[in-house]
Amino acid sequence: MAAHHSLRQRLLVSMAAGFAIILVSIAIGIWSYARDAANHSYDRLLSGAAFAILERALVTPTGPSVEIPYSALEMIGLAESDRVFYRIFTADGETLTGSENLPLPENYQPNNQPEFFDTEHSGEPVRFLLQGRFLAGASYGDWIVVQIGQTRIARSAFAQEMMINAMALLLLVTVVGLGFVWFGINRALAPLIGIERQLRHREPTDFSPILITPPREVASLTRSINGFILRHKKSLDNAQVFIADVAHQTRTSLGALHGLLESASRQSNTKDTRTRLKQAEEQAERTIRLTNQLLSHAMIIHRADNTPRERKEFIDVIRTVFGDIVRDYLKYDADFSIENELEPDVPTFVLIDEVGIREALRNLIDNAIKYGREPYKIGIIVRKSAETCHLIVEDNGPGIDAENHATVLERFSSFGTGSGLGLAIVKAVADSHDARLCLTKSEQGGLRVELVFQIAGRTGV
Amino acid sequence: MRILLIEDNETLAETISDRLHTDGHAIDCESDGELANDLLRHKQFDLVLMDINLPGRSGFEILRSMRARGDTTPVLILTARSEIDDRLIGLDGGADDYIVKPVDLRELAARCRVLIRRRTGAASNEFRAGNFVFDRAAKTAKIDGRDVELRNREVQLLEIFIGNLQRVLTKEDLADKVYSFDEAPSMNAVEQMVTRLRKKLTGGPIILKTIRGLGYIAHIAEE
Repeated sequence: MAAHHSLRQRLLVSMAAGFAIILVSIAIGIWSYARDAANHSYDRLLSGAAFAILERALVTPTGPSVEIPYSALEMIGLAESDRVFYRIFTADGETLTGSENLPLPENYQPNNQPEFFDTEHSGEPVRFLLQGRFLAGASYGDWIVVQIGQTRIARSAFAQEMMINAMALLLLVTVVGLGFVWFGINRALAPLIGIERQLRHREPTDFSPILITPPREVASLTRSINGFILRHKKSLDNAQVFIADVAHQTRTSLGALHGLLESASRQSNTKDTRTRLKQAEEQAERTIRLTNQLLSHAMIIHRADNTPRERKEFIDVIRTVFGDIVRDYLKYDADFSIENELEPDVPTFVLIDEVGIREALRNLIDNAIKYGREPYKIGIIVRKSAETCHLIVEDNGPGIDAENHATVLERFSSFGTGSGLGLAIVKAVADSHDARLCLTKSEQGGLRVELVFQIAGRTGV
Repeated sequence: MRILLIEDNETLAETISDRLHTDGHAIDCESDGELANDLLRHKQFDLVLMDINLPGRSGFEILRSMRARGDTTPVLILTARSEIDDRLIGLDGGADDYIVKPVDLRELAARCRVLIRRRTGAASNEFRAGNFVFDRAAKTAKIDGRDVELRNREVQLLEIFIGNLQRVLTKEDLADKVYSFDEAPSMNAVEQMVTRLRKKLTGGPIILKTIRGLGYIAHIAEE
């Protein structure tokens, strides 16, 4: 539960962060736009007033004279809470009317273009306009300049209002957008939550695949989970069949053993007791062999699912394993041999589970000894074709008829006194190596078992 | 011979020690790994049979501390697992052999004999098996009291086989041990030498078996 909660949170947080970045950059843009817009509107009022004043400037015989028209004052007065400053002066700095101490930009040269600037005056930020006009009379020609200033209260209020309105709208859009994101995330995660719900409410015995019409992105996850469920079921089925088989086989075998021992203890004469004990011993041996083979079979199947095969040089493994097994059969009159038909000095690698190969070879040799007759002749041939490596085990025993080749590979299918597990183990080993298993008749009339492995990677170093 | 059996299953320990007793060995039984380890520190045995899963201290740990002390007593592992750990079995530092439970007592007795013989073959001057006697110091071998004439190299070869009973030895192994580096023998020469030795040993219990494509393995035919 925690896992997909955090997934949702992560998506939402990253989306919110994205929105925040957009919001901040838009806000910066809006703020400068709002300032410009406010300046623009109020500057027009200032220029209008300046224009009206300059229009009234005259050249009188005593010099230039200005009369401030009412309309000009009215125009500036539109911003009610703002204070207004003005000064009208000549090019040589002589104030005709207004406050004398208004600040001027450095190096101001009178001209007839309006010039705006912001500065601090009497403790408040003030925006000033300077505009000149050249007055020419009969004996007179000079610049007369109007300076009008206005505090920024109305402008700021105007810009702020614009800003607030725009931000409110943006915030609304953001909230709605995040709402859509939340909705989208939930919809996108719905299949995952569906899978989780199905798995959570599942009985441990339910191995049906997860039913969901998956979106493409989740399909492979669903397939993997279903694949896992199938494998798990297969492994469990195998285990169940195995347990049932083992129970049956070992109980039967131990039952026989127990029967023989009981019978031995009831015999009145020593000779019969000995006979029964001898039989019991043989039965115990069979039971041991059976148990070993059952466990070996189970181990091979278990390893096939759990132990990764290792890339090893084929002939080395066969030599080691064969040399090890042969030690157990020294008491028999047997001719063992390995024929290595691989090129010398060109290593051939195969992905191998050595334990599996050991079990397979041991069982093949065991069978050859068990069903054959002295002198035994057991030969191993290792050869290779283009992409495959062949392990051939031949004996001179009675062999198996071709029509029975398929059945002997199944568990507990024996044509003699055996447990019927030996070749099933070989088959399991072949399967775990993805090797082909092929039974034929050997030249000496016995069984010839061929395992065909895929060569791993390139040969040579 | 004096054998220490470390096994915590009492019934199994009893049957094994019964069986080995009839072969004429003296058996000490110990069921606790820790106590067995202490015992091994103070007493010398000719062979140690031990289980891996033991109370107190695992067989693996006992083996390791034995080898760390330089104790080369042969060790035969009794294990219930058929997948044997590579670290456990090996020429250097490991056990000398292993046998998988359930144990066939005849097989166990045979393995014990091999280990004891390998040891006496390597460690003492006289090696005996049935009607065969080999005196390492005098470099003489006798079958049924008759001298077997052996050349120097054949004596060396025989020593190697006795010291490696029931182990596969390749022709290369033998050539390395019998010939010096600059003699560079042909594999053919090794073959001929083994054939000659085998012929001289006929009538005795030592059998040199050829495994074509693999090498040779020496074992003692059981009477």
